[in-house]
Amino acid sequence: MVKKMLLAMALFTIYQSVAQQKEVFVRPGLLKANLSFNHSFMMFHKANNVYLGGNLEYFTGKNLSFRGDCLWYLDTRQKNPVFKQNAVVLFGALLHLPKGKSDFYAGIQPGFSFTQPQASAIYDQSYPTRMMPAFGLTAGYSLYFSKFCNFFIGLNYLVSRYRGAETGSIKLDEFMITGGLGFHIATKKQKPEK
Amino acid sequence: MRTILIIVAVVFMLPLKAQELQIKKTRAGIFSLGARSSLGLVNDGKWQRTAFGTGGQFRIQFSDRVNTEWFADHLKADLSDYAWRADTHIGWSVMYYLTKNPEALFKPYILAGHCFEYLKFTDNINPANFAERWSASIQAGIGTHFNITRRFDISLATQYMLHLGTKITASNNEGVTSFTKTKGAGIHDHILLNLSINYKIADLW
Repeated sequence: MVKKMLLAMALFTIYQSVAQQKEVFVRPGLLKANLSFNHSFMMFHKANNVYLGGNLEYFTGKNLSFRGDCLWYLDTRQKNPVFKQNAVVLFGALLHLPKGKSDFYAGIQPGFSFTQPQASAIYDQSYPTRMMPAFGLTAGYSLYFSKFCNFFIGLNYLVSRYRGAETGSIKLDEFMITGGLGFHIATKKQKPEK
Repeated sequence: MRTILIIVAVVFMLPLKAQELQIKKTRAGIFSLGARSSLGLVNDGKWQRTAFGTGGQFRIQFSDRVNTEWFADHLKADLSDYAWRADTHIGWSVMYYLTKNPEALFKPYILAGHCFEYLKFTDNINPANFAERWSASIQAGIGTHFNITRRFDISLATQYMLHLGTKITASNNEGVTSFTKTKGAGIHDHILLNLSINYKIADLW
């Protein structure tokens, strides 16, 4: 049963690819959106976290897009979590290198995090939620396999500090990996080739 | 590492094609919108640490070589390991381009301007123990645009900011943090580094 489903999915993907071989997907006016899980590795703590992440991206040119990201902390894989809650909002520009259905991209995204670390074990101090500046470096790859759908994988390095802990500040840098199914729509008509 | 960075930069920049921006007569009237990340280097005492922040700006250009930038940003930093500071800036700068070519890949400029700052020091252990003040400042510095396309640039700038306002100092004796505000106006300074992304929305006039 599973084999048949996988075969059907593979055939559908190949059919879509062949049918839209000449279509240019990455062009001005392309609007993309996706919702996925982000798996993170904290750089200064032994913690792996899971976020629900979503983004909205608009292409102003073939090689340039602007993207806003939201990340919502869901849980950690460790017994002693670093966060009680964490949400991140980022906005920035991405440079693209599209070729056919493939698109490699990289960019920078300044933003803010709304962070509440877990209560301190040293002073038994509970922390308030604070808005902290954040900075994201992002890179990834998209595969446009149909008119409205794409597969993507993305890497993100997020720089963030929680100020006001009893020991100074808590470094909260995270390296994130995400991937999945994305959606896109062309908001402008494709210019005919000369 | 440097080689990899150069290769990545070349690979991304080579295929870039200029995107249309309708210029009316001169470059005066170009309106840009952007976001920035900032680093603040404060020199008031050993207890000060590097500040890190986020903000945004818009630009309105007034001639081929004169641009203006209107910005707001919010930075946070540690005060040793016993307190922290939050700076909020809102201000503007005039930028004068040092090269004539408006679309050169590197477009250096000098800048000078004015801003207002709200500063708050807060105790790490007791958030009810804090000190705050407003100040006005003047700033001057240098920067450069990296024109990635006709409409999009990444800018790097450094500026020296001289604040006129009440000075706050922090100290910690035997675990007790205290903040002291001087009476009257004082002068204190810091350096602000900005990395920003900017997109030219339209030529307004």
